[in-house]
Formats: sequence, structure tokens, C-alpha cells
Amino acid sequence: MDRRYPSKVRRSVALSRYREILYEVLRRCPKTSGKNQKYVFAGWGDDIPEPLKAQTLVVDAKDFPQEGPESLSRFVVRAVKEGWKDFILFNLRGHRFVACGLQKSHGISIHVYGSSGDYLASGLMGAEVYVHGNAQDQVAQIIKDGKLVVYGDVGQALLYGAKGGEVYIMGSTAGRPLINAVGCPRVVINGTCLDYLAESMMAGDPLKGGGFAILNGITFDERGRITELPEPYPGGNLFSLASGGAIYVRDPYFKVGEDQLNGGKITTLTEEDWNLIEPYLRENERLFGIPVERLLTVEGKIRKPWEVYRKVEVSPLRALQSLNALGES
Amino acid sequence: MTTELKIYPKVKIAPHSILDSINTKVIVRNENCIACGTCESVCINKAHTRPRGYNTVITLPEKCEFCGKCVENCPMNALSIERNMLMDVMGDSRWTPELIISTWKQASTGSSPTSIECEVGRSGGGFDRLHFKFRDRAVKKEYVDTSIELNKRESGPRIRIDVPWYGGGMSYGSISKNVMLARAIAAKEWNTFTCTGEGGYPEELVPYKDHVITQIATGLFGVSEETIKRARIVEFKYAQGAKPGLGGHLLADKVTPDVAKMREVVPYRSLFSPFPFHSVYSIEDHKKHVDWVRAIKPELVVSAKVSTPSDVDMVAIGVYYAGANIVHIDGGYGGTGAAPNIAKKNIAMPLEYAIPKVHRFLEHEGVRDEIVLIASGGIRSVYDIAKAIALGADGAVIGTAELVALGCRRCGNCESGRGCPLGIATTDPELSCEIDVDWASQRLINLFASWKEQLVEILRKVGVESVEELRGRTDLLRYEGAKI
Repeated sequence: MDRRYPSKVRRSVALSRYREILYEVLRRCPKTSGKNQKYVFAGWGDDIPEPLKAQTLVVDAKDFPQEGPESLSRFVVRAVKEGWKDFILFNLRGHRFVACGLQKSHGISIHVYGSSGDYLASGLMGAEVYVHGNAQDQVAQIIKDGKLVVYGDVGQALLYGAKGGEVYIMGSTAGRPLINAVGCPRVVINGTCLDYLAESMMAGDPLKGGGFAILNGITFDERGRITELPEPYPGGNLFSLASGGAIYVRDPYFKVGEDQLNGGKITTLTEEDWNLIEPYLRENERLFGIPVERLLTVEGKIRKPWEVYRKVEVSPLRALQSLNALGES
Repeated sequence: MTTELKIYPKVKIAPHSILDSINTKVIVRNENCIACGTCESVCINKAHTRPRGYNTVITLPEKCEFCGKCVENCPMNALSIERNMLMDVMGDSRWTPELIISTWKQASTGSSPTSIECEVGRSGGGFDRLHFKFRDRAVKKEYVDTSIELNKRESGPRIRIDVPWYGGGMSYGSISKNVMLARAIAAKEWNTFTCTGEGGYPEELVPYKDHVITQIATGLFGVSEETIKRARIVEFKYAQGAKPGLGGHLLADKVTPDVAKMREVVPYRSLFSPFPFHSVYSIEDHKKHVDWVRAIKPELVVSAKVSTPSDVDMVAIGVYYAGANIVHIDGGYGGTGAAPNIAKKNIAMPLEYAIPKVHRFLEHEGVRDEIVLIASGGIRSVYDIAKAIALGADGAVIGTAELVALGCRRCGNCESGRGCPLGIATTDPELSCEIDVDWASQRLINLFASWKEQLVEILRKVGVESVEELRGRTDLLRYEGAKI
């Protein structure tokens, strides 16, 4: 489910069968918690069981309302208040606001299976959320801290107004990710995104604790092999009007041009930059099986990081440059 | 009928040595003065005095009521009352010098000056040509209720404020922290609200959190689950009447290290607040917003601030069906000096047209009594508030009037350099110290006391017992110059 393998059947068919089996297994978890029992089941209408140490609450989302006071999202908030820390939520059918409302939530982990709804992990403040599939729009809006891993693609406005956190996207995102991001969000997008990536980003200097995004521009073929996308970033307004942060683009063929920017500038990766991003690429490797060495491989040869990655960074606006010049004169 | 009498915050004189001395007129003493002391002896306000050690008489403008006795009695014809030349350079046709000075006086003393115009400006339209038809019915003052409810839906918490106004969103960045704090203190004292704006929620405001609205605007600066959870009311700012269709822009000079820390950005780099929300392109998207904040805190009262396009009535009904409790329409007369004039004057519909349009449409749709309609954008005085209510609003949001109470002269330099030299619309640490929190909060308390008193008088004179009864009573208004 989380990886790409060669298969004789279509991936969607295989996943459908796999999900049926997984859900059946999860439904068989006991409802009451007892010692030596790792998983406890809860469904719509059930009381929240009392948590014991190191137990995981397995929740069938099927009959929960998608939103509102009785929604799955609020159930999780109540369960956290009861002391639960680990969750498997499955059978989601557009259930919205998952992992919202938890406030300071370090030590909490949530695994999501099914069709999650929008605003997932928006406002996250410490928890770890793993989405085993695609995610929707407005994911991780204003995220402050914590970790989000999506084993698929993501919709519009990912990380809008983000303040921090670590985010790993196995696939691509739709338009406008990281708009108005501030603080120190750290993001790896293995695919690409439509346009307006990191518009008005204001996330400081990445080399001094600020935020950044890594755009790898890769995908998987039918046999599960990593392949290059035709372009790492096909859209416009990359990093436009940004005053902080940076984008590290895997672009060995220099396909991203200055005409795609609006205020930023493309520079060469430094060793300091590589030291900054490599740990995130290693974690990306662990999560998605995308080896760092493979990312550095171009036409069969492992290259130096600065031959493969380029940095898009802040460039003072022309209007401000002229003001500064006036001030200096 | 028994009515619970509430104890309102005490008015205390909160003087300003310069502002209090400015009046619409001045006493001019010419060279004929022989310092005989006649003016000193006839003045009941002790506005003329002879400083110890000097053989001259001077006039204290802050004490003068321009009754003219000194002029009449001067044996040398040395005194005259003339128009203060400051009147020619201060304010504009909406915020006239008279309105500015009357607001200063109210903030200093807690009551409205009788000798200065404090009702209308000279814009030649809008609220300046609307007047109440006073009938002087005998409604006893203590029975006049000025409170309004901010959640009219069956579900959700009841939030009743004692006066039909609250403070609009002004961010830390656009105004100083001391000003924010003063606004919050006054809001608490008067059991009403102030709003964070979108520059974050300074920790200093936390003790007043029950009276602070958390604003979520397009830049999402400083918004977190904590600041949403803290609030009783959350306001989504979709647009601003002073500059609809334009985002916000905080110039680099105002992004001091403290502001940058609050917003988690780089100091001294310009900040952009986009237009619109990148996650909201339809009323359905707005509903998702409302659902989202209620997923964080189910018992929230939600307000949606929109500008006044020609289809503002449709926007308002959409806001209602999306589940919000308050539709806040912001007309084009407001905004600080940061809003460009071309936007202020040419884009949004005038507020006096927008309010009845929305009010009647909500009535027509049968939902008027389930949603609160709040008007803002150029509300200068309690007369404007009362007129907005008579046109169909439930209450009003104020902004500039509070800044004027603290000494703002409408010079329009809010965005330039380090910001306001008076320490109001600035984040410069040095300039911010110009505003003392206790003094500033007392001035706002005083202004509200004066407004409350005037509002009661207005309601009494039009013959209604509560401000809620005034809503939509256009029959109590007359339009100056209208052909009947």
C-alpha cells in the first residue's frame, strides 16, 4: 500500500483487495482493552475504552459523521483527552479535519487508511500523522509542529500559512503549496506541483533554522521503479514574492528557468545546503524507499549533490533594491 | 418593570497636555493688552491666568468654552475669538477637525462637548446627510437597553455585549502592542470585544481573552490551534472594505524583531497578506472554514468579515447558510493611512446602501433573526453607530475612532518609515512607549462612556427602549436634502 511494486493486476485493483483484507483484520480487534492486548477496536456509537500502556486504538470510521460534534475528528480529540496516544483510523470516506483540535500533541501518532477528507492535520502541534493513500485539499494548514507523511498525492494549498513541522509527500501536490509559510516548515515533495509553489513564503533563512521545501521531480513507473518527471516544476510563479525560506529542486538538466520565478533567484547548492537537506532525504528514503543515492544518480552515474540539486532562494525585490540604493546614496 | 442596572466602568479624566489645548477656535490677544486682569476676573472657567512672576495674562485653551465674556469686557479690545488655523490643516471631509477634536475631548473627559460638532462630518453624503427624527418621547433613561446578542442561532453559546459596538481587527504590526492592550482593557471593562487582527495574539492579551476575537485572515499570520481555542469568537477576514480585492502589505520598516517573532518571519522584510484566501473560492469553501474552526472548538461563535460588493446580500445569505453567526460587512470609508485612496473611494459599495440591502434580503429570506449583521468601515461616532443600526445592522465595529481617541490626527502616515510618531500605528519600540497603557485604556473607557450616554439619549429621543428595537427603523431617519 505504501510502496510501489511490480504487479500483474492494476494497482487500484490490488489496493482494493488489500484494503478489504486489512479492514477485516482491523475489525476483528477486541473492543475491550485487556492486558497484553496491543490493539483495541472502537466504532461509531462505542464508548471510548480505557487505554492501557502502549495500546493502539483502532477506529472504524464508517458510520461516523464526516464533520460536526460527533465526527471522527472530535472522537479522536476526546480519545486523546482520555489518554490514548496511538491510533489507526480506517475505512475513512471523506472524513474531515482528522488530527485537528489536538493542540499540543507530542507523542501522539495517527495512521489513516481510506479516503481522508480535507483540512487533515491543519493546525497540527506535535503529533505524527501517516496517511496511507492520497490526501485532499488544505492539508497541514497552519501546522506548527509535528510530522505528516503522505503515501500518495495531495490536493490544493498544502501547508498554507505553515509555521513549522516536517512533511513528506510521496507523490505530487496540486497548486499553491506552502503559500505564506513562515517559521521553519521542512518539506519533501517527491513529485512535483502545479504552480505557485511557496508564493510569499516568509520562512527565514533555511541555513539558520528557517524553512524550506525539497522538490525531487520523480515518479514511479508501472513496475515501481523511480523515474524522472518530464520537468521537476512545470508551472509558474515559483517562490514568487517570497522573503524567506528556500526551494531545493532536483534539476540535473537545468529545466527550471528564471522565467518561472517572480522575485526569487536560482543559485548553486552549497555544501552547507546539502548538509541541511540530506537528513531529510535520508528520512524520505526510510519512509518511501527512495534512496538518496538514486536521487543523486543521473544517467547511471552518482553525481555530486550540487550537480543534481539547485536552490531557489530569496532575491530582494527590484523596488526595494532601488530604495536601498537611494538610501545608500 | 424592573431592570437590572449595571455598573459601568468609571470615567476618570485622562488628559493629554497638547490635545486638550486644541479647540476649533482660539482666543487671540493682540498688542493692545495691558494685562489689567479683567479677562481673568470675568472668566468662570479660569481660562485666563497670570503666571507667577510675569506681568502678562495668558489664555489656557483647554479651559476656555468660548463664551465671549472676556471679549465683551476687555477695556482695550485686545481679545477676539477666531477660527483655529489648525482646522485648515487637520482631518478631511469625513473625519473633520471638529469630529477629531470632539473625540479627543470625549476621551479626556468621558462626556461629549456641547460646543463642538460631534455628529456629522462634511462629506456631503452617507451618514453625514442622515439625521434622526427626534421626538423627545418620555422614555426613562434607566430603561434604555443598549446591549446586543452576538449569537442568534439556537445552538452555540450566548454572548451578549453591553454596547452595540466592538473593536475591529488591527494587527500587531499595524498598531503597537500598548494600543492593542489598551483596547483589550477597555473592551473588558465595557463587556464588549476587541480583535487581534492578523498579526498574531500577543501573550499580553491572554488575561483579556474572553473579550478578544481571534482573527483569521488570508496571511494566517500568528494563527494556531491555541489562538483559535482561546477565543469565544473567531473572525474570518475575507476582505476589507477599504481595499477589497487587495491583500495586505506590511512594509519592511514595521517588521521589527518583535513583530517578526510574533509572525515567525524575517525582521525588516516586507510581509504580504494575499487576497483572497487561497483555500476559499466559494461559499462552500467558506463553510469548510467554519467547520474547520468548529472542529477545533465546537462552541465557537463565528464571524465572517466581507467587503460590500454589489452582491453583498448574496454573500451574506451564503455566510448564514455556511453556519456563521455574524456577517460583518465592511464598507469603504474605513482603513488606516495604509489603505490606498483609490481603493477606499472607488471599489466597495457605500455602507449606507449596503446595510439596508443586506438587512432586507436576510429578512426576505426569513433568516434575519438568526444572524447578526455588523457594519463597519468609517464608523466615527455613536451617531454613525445608531444610524447603521437604524438602517438595519445589529451593531457596528469601530477602529479609527479608537485611534483618534488616543491622539491620532489622521495625518495618514501610518505606513511610512517607523510608523506613527505618536506611538499609535507603529511597532517601533521607542515610539511605542509614547502610549501609556493605563492612560490609553482610560481614554477608550471614557470615549465609550460618552458614546453610551449619547446612545441612550438618541434612543430616548426617538422613543425606543432598546437598541435592538432601533434595528431597521429607517422611518426614524431623514435624509438631508431629500425631496419629499
